[in-house]
Amino acid sequence: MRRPTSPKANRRRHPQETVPLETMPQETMPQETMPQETVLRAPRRHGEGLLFDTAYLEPEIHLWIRTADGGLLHLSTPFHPRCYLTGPREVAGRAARRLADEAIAVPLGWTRRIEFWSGRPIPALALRVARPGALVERVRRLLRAERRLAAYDVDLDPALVFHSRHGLFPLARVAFSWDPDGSGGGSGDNSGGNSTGGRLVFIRALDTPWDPGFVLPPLRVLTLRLTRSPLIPLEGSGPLNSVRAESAGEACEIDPAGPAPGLAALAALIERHDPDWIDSERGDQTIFPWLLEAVQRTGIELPLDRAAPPVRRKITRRTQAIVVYGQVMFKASAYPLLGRWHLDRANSFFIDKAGIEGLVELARMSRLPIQRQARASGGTAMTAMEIHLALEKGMLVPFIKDQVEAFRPASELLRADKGGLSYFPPAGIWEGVIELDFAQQYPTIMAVHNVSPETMDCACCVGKNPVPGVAHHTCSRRRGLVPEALSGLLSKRLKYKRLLKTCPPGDRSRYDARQSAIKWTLVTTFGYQGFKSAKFGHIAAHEAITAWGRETLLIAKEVFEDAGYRMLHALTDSLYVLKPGFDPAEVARLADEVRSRTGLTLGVEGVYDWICFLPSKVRRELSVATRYFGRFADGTLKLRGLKVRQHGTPPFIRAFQEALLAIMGACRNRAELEAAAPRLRSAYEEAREALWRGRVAPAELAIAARVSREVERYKANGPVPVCLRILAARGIRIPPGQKVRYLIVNRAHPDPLERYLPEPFLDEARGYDAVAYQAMLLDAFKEVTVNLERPRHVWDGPQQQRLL
Amino acid sequence: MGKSITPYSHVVDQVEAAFSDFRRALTRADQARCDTLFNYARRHTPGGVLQSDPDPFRTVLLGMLIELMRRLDEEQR
Ligand SMILES: [Zn+2]
Repeated sequence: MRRPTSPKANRRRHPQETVPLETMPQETMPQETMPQETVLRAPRRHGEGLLFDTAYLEPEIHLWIRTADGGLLHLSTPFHPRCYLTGPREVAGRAARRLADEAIAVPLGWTRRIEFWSGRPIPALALRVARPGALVERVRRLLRAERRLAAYDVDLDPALVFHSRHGLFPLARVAFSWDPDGSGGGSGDNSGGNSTGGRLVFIRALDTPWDPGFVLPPLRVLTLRLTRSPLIPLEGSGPLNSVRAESAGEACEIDPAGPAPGLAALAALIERHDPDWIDSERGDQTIFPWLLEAVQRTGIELPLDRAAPPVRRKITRRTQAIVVYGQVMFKASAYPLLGRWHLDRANSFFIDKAGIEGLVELARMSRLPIQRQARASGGTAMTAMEIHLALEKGMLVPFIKDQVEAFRPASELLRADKGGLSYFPPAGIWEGVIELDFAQQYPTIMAVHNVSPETMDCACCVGKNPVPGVAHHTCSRRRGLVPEALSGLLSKRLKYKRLLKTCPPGDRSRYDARQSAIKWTLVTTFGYQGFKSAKFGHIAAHEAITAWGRETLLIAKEVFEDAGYRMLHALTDSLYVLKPGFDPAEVARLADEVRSRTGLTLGVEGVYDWICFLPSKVRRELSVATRYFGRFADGTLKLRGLKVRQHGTPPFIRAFQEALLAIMGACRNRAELEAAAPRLRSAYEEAREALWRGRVAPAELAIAARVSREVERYKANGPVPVCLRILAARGIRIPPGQKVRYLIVNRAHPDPLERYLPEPFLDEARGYDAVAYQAMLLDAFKEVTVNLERPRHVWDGPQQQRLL
Repeated sequence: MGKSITPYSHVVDQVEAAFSDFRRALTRADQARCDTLFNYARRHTPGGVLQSDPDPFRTVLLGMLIELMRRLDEEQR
């Protein structure tokens, strides 16, 4: 297998390469913004610290730097990002004059920048952007009106561009110079005077985001929580929620009936403890909009921002729909603060998956400010890394995805986009199965085979580096942007994995959180949907990745079959093989052979004492590729795709199935599994008994379901609309994207409003629908015992009548 | 995370749908056999995906035959 280019080390971003602000070209640091009274000011100061926060408030970039004495320094400097136009000279010139007339951007002149697709320099008209906020819409209209025009670097996050240009990243150790100047942006200083404002004149990073030894500085935290179920609103006529804040053992509560004293207490708490981080749950969607409105009503000052110019916030509760994995998700409004982090645990994928350590790790890699990364996806992080690399290379970042699929004959289209290979395992219980997995298959393929939109089907390498089974090839002369960014992530994750093996136990959780954040970035970015929607996405690149994925899986299959193993199952990046009396050393040797032939690491996930592949409910002759469970030789259970573990199943049913799995997990082989049938059966009888005797708490029977639209837009009488109507009548609205939890009270009741009971009113339940829940119990039982012979008679056991 | 759905399963569905008139004329017992054969074909999704034959009926047929062959082998054992 060829490696088009050797994966280059990603350690080129040395602090020395950063550009001092003073040596930046005229257009970036224009003379006219330099204050005239320079000579009268206090002497220039120099310092070192940690870059705590970055925000762009047009037209200035604001930095908050934590100094060695524990203070926080707020510095600002005018910042005008650049954008570029290409096309016939008069066309680009005309568009530039338009932008200049509207004071959105000022043309600087023609220069040469590297074109993304060809990798060659092309003439481009550079503009200094005065109003990035207005640029995107204006350029979009210009592009629509003039097809010969192309625009670049238009929609980039100014904070990211600033970070990139100066080699900065969140919590970088920085050396900087500044001119103390009251008018330089620190006028709104409102945090007890632990900082002074000033004008930044120079900054560079003293470390790199690639150092795994980075230690998070101690952070002062203030937690902000709702005191009751998040479904209970903070305003309205019904029962109300309240907000509780806590910092360093001191707490206060804000009562919505009379918020003034609580607000004053919160303000005092913030003043006294000066938290670095406001750790909220539902801050973005619920607490902050209400808090800011209460501030407006009462006139009580709440020093949320730290050492910052006063800003006005638009208060919004609107949730915005976004598409993830082709499924509509909802994103809450966001309330980032200035100079202080506000991170909402209910609105942050990465805090949820990998904690603050994982989030900080990812923000350092992506160079996005912490508060922005917290609310963004892995795809956003990946794109930010690619943008940084592009800017560093002087490459134009395409504005609108403009590649059009070249015409291909129908037979060729049929071959395209085949996805990963997915076999159907023989349903039943199998003993001694070995599972082998390719680690990070798709990202590694991209790194090894240099798969990137701009390296696909280049003119310079026709006939070389063919992608197996599809009519594509990759470039061997140019390293792609995506593989370069990926290699960095993969190698950093590897560093953490190695550290995990050798580090003192106290450091383990930190490294684990960081490698997990990287893993989640890779997983969510290079899933099928992720790559399609990426800024640097490209259908040919996607096809190449899955083609290499199929090829590597087939190679692994062949290597093991050649050595006498039987392949039971294979699924995209994992392989399940069987050989009576196999030698573990041989398995390791074969995995090694696969690695040397594919360039991908094939790891032994484990050897199953037994594994149970589940049959399809719909088609009798088929099994289901993604549903199985089994016991590894070390006694741990692995569960995949069990229905009862998904879809908001009530805790009682889940716990029941887990009890069954615990019984099965203690069995070492098929004979023991069959012998366990009486115990499985009595577990079932016990659960059924508890159900019918009314001994199960309503909360244990609550089913979770996602709300997909506003209550008025539901027509039918399903559980979700009925629950939304009950809640609405009692003053509670659940926005789309959130979940309702409800109890089935009596599914057969003639009045739909009597059929279900939603949270937070479960305690009012006087009974539940035991028939409905017994059916779920039986489904949970069937799912795990389907391949056993003896428990089968339970399946058609006696149906009990509804209790009166 | 969601695995991508291979379009080949849709291809078998389409072939099956194209033969719905044929199936209708079959006796109940033969209809069941016909359905079984198409499920046999579905077991060979990986081969169908890799081959991507412009005339998918050929890979569908081959998949059916292989499963029949396997049954024969199993019965002779
Ligand atoms: Zn090339």
